[in-house]
Amino acid sequence: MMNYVSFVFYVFLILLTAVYYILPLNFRWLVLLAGSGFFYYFTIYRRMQLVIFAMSIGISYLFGILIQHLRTRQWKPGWKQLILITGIVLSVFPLFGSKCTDFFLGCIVHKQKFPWIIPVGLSFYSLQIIAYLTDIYKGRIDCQRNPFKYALFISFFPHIIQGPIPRYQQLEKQLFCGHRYDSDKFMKGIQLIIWGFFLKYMIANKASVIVDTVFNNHMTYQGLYVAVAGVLYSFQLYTDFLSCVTISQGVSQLFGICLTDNFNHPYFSVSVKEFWRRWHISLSHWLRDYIYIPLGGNRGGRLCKYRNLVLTFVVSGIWHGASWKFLFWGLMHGGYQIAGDLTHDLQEKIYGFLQMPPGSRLRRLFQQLVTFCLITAAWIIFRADSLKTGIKMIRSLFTFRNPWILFDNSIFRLGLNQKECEVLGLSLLLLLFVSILQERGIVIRNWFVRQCLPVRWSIYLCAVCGIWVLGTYGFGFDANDFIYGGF
Amino acid sequence: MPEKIKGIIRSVIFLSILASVLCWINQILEPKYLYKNSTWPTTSSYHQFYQMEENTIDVLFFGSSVCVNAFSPQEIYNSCGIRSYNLGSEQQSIFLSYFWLKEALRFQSPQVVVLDTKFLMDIHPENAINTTEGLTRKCLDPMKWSKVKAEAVNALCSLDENQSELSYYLTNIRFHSRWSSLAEHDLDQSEYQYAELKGYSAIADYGPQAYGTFQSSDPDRYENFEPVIDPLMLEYLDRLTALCQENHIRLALVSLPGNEMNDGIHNNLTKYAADHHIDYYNFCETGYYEAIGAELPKESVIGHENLWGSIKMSKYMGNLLSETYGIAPVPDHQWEETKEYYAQLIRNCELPHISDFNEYFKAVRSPYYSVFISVREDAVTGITDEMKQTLKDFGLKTDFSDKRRCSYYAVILPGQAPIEKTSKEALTITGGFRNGRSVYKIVSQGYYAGKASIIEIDGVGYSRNGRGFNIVVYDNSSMKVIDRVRFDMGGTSAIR
Repeated sequence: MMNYVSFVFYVFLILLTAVYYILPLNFRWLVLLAGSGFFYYFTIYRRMQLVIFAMSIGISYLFGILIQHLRTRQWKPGWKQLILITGIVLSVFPLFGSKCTDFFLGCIVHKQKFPWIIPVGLSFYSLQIIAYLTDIYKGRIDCQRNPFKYALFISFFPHIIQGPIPRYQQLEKQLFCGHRYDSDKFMKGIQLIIWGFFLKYMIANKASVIVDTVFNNHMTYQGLYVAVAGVLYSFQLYTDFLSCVTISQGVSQLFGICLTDNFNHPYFSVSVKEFWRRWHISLSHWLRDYIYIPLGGNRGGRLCKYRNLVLTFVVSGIWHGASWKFLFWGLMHGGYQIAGDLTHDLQEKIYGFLQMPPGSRLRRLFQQLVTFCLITAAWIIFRADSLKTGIKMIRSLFTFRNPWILFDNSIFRLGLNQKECEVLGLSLLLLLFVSILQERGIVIRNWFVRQCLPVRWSIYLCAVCGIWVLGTYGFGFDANDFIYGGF
Repeated sequence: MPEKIKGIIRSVIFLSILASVLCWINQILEPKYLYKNSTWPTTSSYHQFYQMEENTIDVLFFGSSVCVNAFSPQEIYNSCGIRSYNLGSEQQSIFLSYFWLKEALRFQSPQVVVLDTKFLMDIHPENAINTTEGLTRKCLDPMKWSKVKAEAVNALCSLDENQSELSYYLTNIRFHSRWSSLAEHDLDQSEYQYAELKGYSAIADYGPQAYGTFQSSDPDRYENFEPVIDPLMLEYLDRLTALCQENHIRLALVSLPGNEMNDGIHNNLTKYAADHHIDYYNFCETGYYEAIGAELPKESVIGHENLWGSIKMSKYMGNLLSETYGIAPVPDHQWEETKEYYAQLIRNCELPHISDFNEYFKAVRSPYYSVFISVREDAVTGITDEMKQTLKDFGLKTDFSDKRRCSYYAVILPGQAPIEKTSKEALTITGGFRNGRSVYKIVSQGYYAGKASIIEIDGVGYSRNGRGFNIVVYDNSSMKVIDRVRFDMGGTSAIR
């Protein structure tokens, strides 16, 4: 099967890029459509997945036209709303159906789950369709009347598996206009792809070895092992998801198309609220625009705001997976934010007592640390086999004492030897360094472009060879799939 | 020049550099098996094969590790003048033998091919081609890229869905994690490009005390064959037979002593040979076994034959090739030049079996060896004048008469004066040999200085660390320690 880190994907990409730039500008979007179809066909394992995907595209396309048509008609708003809801339900029925029945059968009545055929990228393209239909309904955009162009918008191969979840207005012009070859953009695309591979092979895959050992044997590994695995999972999930998005952005840039950033250094957040402004930005914005605000948002007093917040995070939790642990994970994040809001004054008093004034570096660092710990605790629930296991693992952090594992090389017996752990540590430091520079507004790629050819070539060579040799992939390691592709 | 053309030229140059560097890295990361680190030096044997002058090999041997240990091309050349090469490898299934024969025919035109039948049996039913993946790669990776290798890889991966075809082309997929265990031979091509023994590998251990030969009891009994035979191996045996016939090569099947043998196997292989007009030699049979004339336990031809067994087997095979197949002796510098190496190999194998103090020191007095000596507690009490003279003849200058309970070390490197020192205090010395490529460290602690002996070569300890002379012998040609021994205080018999 093809994916963003497979060899065949890059053979396909080279051929597609060549054809894209050979054809006249007006036909270039057709190359992307054909490429997206080809890619999708080779990522599925059953043809029925393709049929369901095509049906979703077809239904939402027709409803898009219908909703736009009704916008100018003097129908009662209720009828228009009913058409919108019908369009959404029919278009994204596989997502609704699978999530609801999985939750009901798996968590409520404890029966075997219904064997749904899940098309690749279902969770992502469903949200894309909901946003598209709603935006037409709200009059923010006009529908796309060319069915092939619409199909390209939904199926554009760099974002179909793991997002970012694009809005129609963001991509409309970029996708269909056709781009001239721009060597700067092209090289920046390649840089992004290399960076994506670095994140995936040098951090995410390496961290996953330790994470899997601990989480898959949670009865054996308790206490500080859980802390180590929890922290590493926080980085694994971040870099795994970021790598996929970075590769998607890089691949898109090869065709002159810019996808939005999906992350903004989330672990630099000083509160959980800020974390959600930096983490999976396209999903957070989607939840804000299509769940939180329609529910009433901040209007209607504190109680309503908290209710809306909790409901939004419940939706987020279920979107990630139809089980108690994801629901609980969502509730944890909702709870964190409510608790943060309620204890705001108390926090200020504590910081005052500790002589940490607003804006001080130490206070910021302390807040970042606390936020990271809260987020990591939630990730432990997220990664554990079940809610019960996750709670047990967190409890063992406080009830099981084994600090010596940090000193007696026990860490190096979790699947990664000392040298591999050192590479992981150095890679994390490099990520931190780059993130700090980016946080300060320094774009390394701009510096890179200014360097002379031998310097640029040397850096490319070192980067590719470094990943080639030091990365974790291939024989004995099977994690080609990206974590978020499974949601 | 237009900017676009410049850009294309730059891209092509960069991609060429990148591809070359990645190929070079993959070559470094690939595991290598040579005399230094393996009983069956597959990598160097196959690399050596490609260095042989074209159309100079008259006989090729194929088969598993038992074949590698049984047929010594140098011995066959020394005794009969026949030019042969052993292309066997560990667990080489008939599938692999077929493709290696096909590859060999691109460079050589042998008159006879000898194939060991051991892997006709379903020895590894859990593996698609009757061999584990690691050993398949050991055999296939050193093969040069050509249509033959592509065909072999394709056939292999279509039979074994657990294997990735791509990983044979991009070997980093399989081996990149070796970066943390790279050794000298990974980075120095010259160490694995040559195998003076031409595919043969010697074992120095003695064999069992006795062997029950096979005696056919029922020439019409054909059962007990199908349950143990692998149909895929039989299919590839057919292909191999056809390939030999196409190229006018005489094929001889052999079953070596120690192989699984019963009437069913014997009769079926005899019938197969008769049906296909080829020869079959069952060396498990009493008649052949006695004709070989190996005397156990020293001359073991059972299972993995030892050096002395293989000498007998190779001589027998040489005569057979000469008399039955009419292979004429041809003087060839490729075999002449390795005669001395082979003679030294025999001495290497004999060394671990020498017990006598005087004989031992005579044997290790060779320009091929680096010798490291460290005394623990006391080596002198009880030492005889004859032993002292032996040490003197060996080149040591120390007068051991008054060195009771002293620390003592000696380093004897080829072409250099011995380095030795004695003291009542503990002694330590570190130094380099093999032009500084290897580092040794010796610690000697006499009776009053701690009672210890350490002899480390490249960080690995080899000393027996017992009372008396602790001796480690390093063979500079195979780049490995070939013996480590101790002679107790005044003792004349080696302790291993």
